[in-house]
Amino acid sequence: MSSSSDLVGNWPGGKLVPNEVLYEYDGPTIFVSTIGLTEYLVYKANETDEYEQFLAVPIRHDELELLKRGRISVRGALIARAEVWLIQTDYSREVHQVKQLGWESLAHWLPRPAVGLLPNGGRVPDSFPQAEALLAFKFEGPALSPGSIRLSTLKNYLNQISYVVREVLLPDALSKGRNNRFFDVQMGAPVLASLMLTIKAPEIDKQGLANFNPTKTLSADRLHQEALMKSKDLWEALEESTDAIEKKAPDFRSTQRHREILQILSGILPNTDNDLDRLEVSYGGQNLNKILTIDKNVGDQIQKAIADVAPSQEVVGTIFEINGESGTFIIKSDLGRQTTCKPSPEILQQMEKNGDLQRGTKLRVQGPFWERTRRDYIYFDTYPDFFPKP
Amino acid sequence: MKTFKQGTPPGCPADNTPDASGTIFRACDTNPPSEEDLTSHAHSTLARKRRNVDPAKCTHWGLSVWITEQDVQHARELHDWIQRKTICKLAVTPSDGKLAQTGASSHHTFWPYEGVDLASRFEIFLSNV
Repeated sequence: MSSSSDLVGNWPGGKLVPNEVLYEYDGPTIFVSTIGLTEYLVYKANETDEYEQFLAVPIRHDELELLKRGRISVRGALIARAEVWLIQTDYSREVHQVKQLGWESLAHWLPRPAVGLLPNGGRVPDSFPQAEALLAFKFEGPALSPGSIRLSTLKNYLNQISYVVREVLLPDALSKGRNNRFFDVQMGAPVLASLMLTIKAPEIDKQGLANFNPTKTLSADRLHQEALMKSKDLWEALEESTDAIEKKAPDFRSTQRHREILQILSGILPNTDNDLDRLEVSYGGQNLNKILTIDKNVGDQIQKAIADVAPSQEVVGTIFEINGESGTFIIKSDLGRQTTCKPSPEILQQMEKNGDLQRGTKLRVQGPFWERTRRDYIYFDTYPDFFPKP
Repeated sequence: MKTFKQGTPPGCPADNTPDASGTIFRACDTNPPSEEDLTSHAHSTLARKRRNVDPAKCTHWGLSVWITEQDVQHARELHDWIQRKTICKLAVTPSDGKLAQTGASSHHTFWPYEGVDLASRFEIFLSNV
């Protein structure tokens, strides 16, 4: 770029003037500048003895606020728009050359992922949907390509997240019967190219609660708060387990609640038995923005750790629901207690082949067992025993 | 009474600017740091450092520094070109000059007193990448 002029677009000329300095060292290095009629985020990407080079992208006021509050990385703020300019100046910031960058050449100029403006901010999300979400799940794997996704794949992940919402975020008072119909979450628009599903906020149907006798005394605000606290529990369960694995703590001991949550999440964690490469989870509650990444190795270790602490138990019940996407089925004991049964992939395949996976079939399974508030959970990798049909 | 480097305007830094203490970190173009690495933009004779100087801005008569290792690591993650510099560190005392947080985020400015030997006292903290 330094060898020939690439003046492009309607550059008004003159100096690059910082209106608001966001970061500096020997002068402003990340700042906001008004170029024409638009506010631009400007990032110093390079310097030599003769010139400085900056990336400039348009930025909205609300996006700038998220950046200043440390809720999104600098990289994330720079890649949010298709319009990115490379501006070359001398050391008095007089602009000499301007060039619009395509995605292929942009990566070379960007700061590292997950680094925000604040030195003590920790890792922060690299996208505005994540920065604005209460919880965000970004799935990466070979089945998740930019621009398109199989309906079955999209449906699988939506169902998995729906399951997590139902099992982890649902306030306890709404867990009986069909009371869960008064609870929902606002989702952000799904983002393809890695699939990103974001939960923006819990929603309580106040009118529905009030019109139904069993729930009319419940406080919608309290239920809302409870759902927010459960989101925090979900985050803490993941953070605690990934921290322990990173520190190579041989056997992290989670609380019962955290173990339950990890078990529920196990369907969306990468592991060697599925085709997910990475899962990035971010949490935006309580004015925080935190992010963590789970790869197959970490996912395997989480699965192993929660299996290791679960006592082995035998459960008998009759199949009344089969969930193909999650590879589980639910049985009900003679006393009405429900258990989600998760067979290993090999056992599941065998059961399907033998025609043993049918509603109304009574069976006995044995394996690591987790007692839960609403519905227990068992994992098994040995073939069940079947009771003769009456 | 101690004075600042010749040419520094009167009243810069302000009288109530805190005395220097603790550790400062500076990004240097050379290893070991040269006098130029420890010369403010306003005092420098280098064209590229002087071109954007505003003599009315007191920070231009001091040195940009960080005061924690975390700030240094963060800066290097934020800007690859800082990784090309050598990071030096120095324990400073009130007899060395004044030090204050100035401007955005973790940015600090250090104004050394006239005659204070800095170059020989700076240690290498992180080599350039």
